[in-house]
Amino acid sequence: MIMVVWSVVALVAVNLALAGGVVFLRVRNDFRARRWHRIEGRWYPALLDLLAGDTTCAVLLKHVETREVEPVLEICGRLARRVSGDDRKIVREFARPLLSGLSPALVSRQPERRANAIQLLTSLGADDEFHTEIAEALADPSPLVAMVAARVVASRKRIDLAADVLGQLDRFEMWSEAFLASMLASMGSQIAPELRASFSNAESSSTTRSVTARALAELRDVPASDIAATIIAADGGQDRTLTIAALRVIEVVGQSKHLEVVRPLLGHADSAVRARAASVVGKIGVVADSPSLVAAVGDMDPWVAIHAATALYQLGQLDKLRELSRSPGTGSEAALEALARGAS
Amino acid sequence: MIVLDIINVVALVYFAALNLTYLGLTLASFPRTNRYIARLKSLHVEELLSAAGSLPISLLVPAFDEEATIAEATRSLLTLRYPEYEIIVVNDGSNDATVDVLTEAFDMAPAHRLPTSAITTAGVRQILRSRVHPHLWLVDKDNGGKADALNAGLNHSRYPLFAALDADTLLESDALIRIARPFLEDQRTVAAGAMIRIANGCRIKGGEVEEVALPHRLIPEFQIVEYLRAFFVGRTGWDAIGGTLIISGAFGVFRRSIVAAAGGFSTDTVGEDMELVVRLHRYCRENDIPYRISFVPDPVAWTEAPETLRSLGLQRSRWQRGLAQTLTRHISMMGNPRYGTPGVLAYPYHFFLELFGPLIEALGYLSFGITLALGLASPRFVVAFVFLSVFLGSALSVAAVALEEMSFRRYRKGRDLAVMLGLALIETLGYRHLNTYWRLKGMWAFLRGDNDWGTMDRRGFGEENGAATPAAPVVGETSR
Repeated sequence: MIMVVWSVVALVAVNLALAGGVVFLRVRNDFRARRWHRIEGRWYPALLDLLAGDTTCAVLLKHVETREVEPVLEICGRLARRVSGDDRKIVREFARPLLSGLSPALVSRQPERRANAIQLLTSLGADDEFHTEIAEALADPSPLVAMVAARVVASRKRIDLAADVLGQLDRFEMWSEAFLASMLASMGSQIAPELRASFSNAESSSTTRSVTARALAELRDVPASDIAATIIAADGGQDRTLTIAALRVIEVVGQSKHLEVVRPLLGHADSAVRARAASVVGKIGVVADSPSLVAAVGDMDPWVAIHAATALYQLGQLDKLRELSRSPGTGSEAALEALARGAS
Repeated sequence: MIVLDIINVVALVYFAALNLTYLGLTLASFPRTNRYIARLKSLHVEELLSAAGSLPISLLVPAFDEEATIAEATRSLLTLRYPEYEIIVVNDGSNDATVDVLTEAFDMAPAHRLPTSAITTAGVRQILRSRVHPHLWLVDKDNGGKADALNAGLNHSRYPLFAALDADTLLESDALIRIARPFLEDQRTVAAGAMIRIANGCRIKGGEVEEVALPHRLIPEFQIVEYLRAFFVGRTGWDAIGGTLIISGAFGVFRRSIVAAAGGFSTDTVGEDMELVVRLHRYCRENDIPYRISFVPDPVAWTEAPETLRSLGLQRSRWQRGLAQTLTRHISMMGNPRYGTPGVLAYPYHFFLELFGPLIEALGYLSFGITLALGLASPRFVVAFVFLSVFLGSALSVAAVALEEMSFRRYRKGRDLAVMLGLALIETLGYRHLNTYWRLKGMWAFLRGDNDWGTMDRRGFGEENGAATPAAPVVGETSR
């Protein structure tokens, strides 16, 4: 009996000690939060004074204690993301002498810490600085660090590092294509030649080519439409991903001369290709394409029907749509939807 | 005597297996959560998603007799921060004025929308679209239950992702931004679950949780600790080893095309949320589709927890029925290496320890009591039983509170932390036994073939601590 009592007492004590550990965690967290608020409360207004011209970088820098360097850089990084133009330049000028404090974080064993450091470093550096550091981060074994570096390159429009990013695209194959394409497109039309080269390179993976095609479509890059048509003609719609990507380009910047490679795809075995082809015909097609679109409105796949009905509306074939809306089958609802959408 | 010995041994083995599994999940959760928090710091989620390229989401909101709350709930959804989304409220044959309320509040007018998948549902009466918020749709259909309503919404959704919500779920304004991240980072992601938190006790204004606090009632307070354990330890731990079998019906995001291809939500179970996730595992593996099912702890949906023993009992009984229905339906996954971690680890865990747990526990408690009463229990047995059935469980609940403290720290008041720790320490003395009883009832109802959702008394989300709206039976209740 005594053994039982003592054991239970011991177990209660262990659980209480665990609960005490949580209380300690709370105390520690509160202490850290207070410290952070203290530093932020001191430095944020000081930086605002700096932006207002009430003080100078040299004066403020004298007050940065060694143990405060990283938090101060964090505050600068946040502020730099919120402001622009001259204000951002001032924040960067202030932070510049402190950036060497990030060196340990850049080579930290924790990828999250390295990623944060590269982000801070670049958000507080000048637009053309840290080429080596960013290139190294792009080649970092951690995909997280590489992605953060790629985002930095894109957001800062570092064309000098565009080729490095494109070279790493295959490492980001798990990422959403739409996201990667937008990231590349955010660099602006200066990256278009690199993208075109990648899109037309048969040696590149179809994921890379698809991403670059989407980026070119976002950039509304007219020369890419010829590349897209050539790819479709050469591939014959075999590679589904690549075909859809190429169609996406033609949809945005294609011309009627590209119709000859698009029209056959209305009869493609893959419904996603058929739907995209119908969309393209709606954008660059002519009235003579109406019969094939009317047929596509009756497609078993609702997406094809919706895209084809929309295409008919875009070609101004309202009578055909009205006729379809009175017919039985799914085409009727697709036609009604296209008419209603157009009316609104 | 031999019978008692056997039951005692089985109960000890059960408690050991259950708690050691949870201990393993806890150990997996700590570094996982730590890294996740660090990762959030380096990724600037909002910056990521403010860029074009985020995947549009359809929000599916099944509603049944929700006239009192539906307008406010919809207004709250209209304020979410996300680049592109549509809201599809599905009126599941309400007997009240749900449709009229929505029509009047949002100027809904008849519209056409071709279904993009053909999952069989109860008849759709009409489709309406808001003239003031063109991304708000109403699918008005005959009654068919929550899963049927979700299927109707799925049929009429157009975006690559959809979120399944309960009509009374409050999403934090950045919840969609955060839950979409796994889909951006990994194209294989077919489903993602979020953190469900309990809103009882919180100050809520305009459909948003303004101040997080514990309620002053024991029943929801216990559930808060339970939810922390279920999400921080259970979901995070299973996610770490790729064994997620449950995404809460209160808020989860799915890839539309895969769910439609897998047949949508099952209408003949009360656990359609879990059933879908288990089926997605099967569907993807049987069709060699690379996939990932994730749990992410930073997107938050707030839900109202039952405040009475009756409501809580009904909810837990229903969850147990849903578990039983799902696991018996997919019994071929049991221990089957074809289904990877879900089949080899997660399924057997849920089958032996969660499904049969209440029965073994109940017999174990009974047998332990009889053994003690007859003076047959050795001190070593008593200590082992108490350690495994009471103290280890409490320690794991304390660990869940620790995970909350080291990550999101939503409960900032010292009093709240003290209460949560206190409840974690005493949860295994009484509250757990009540749960065992309710889950046993759920098993019995399953064996009887009962498929009724039942009704739950709700207080609703008022301005403070939930007190404004009348009790209403709902199609979709809270999370599992």
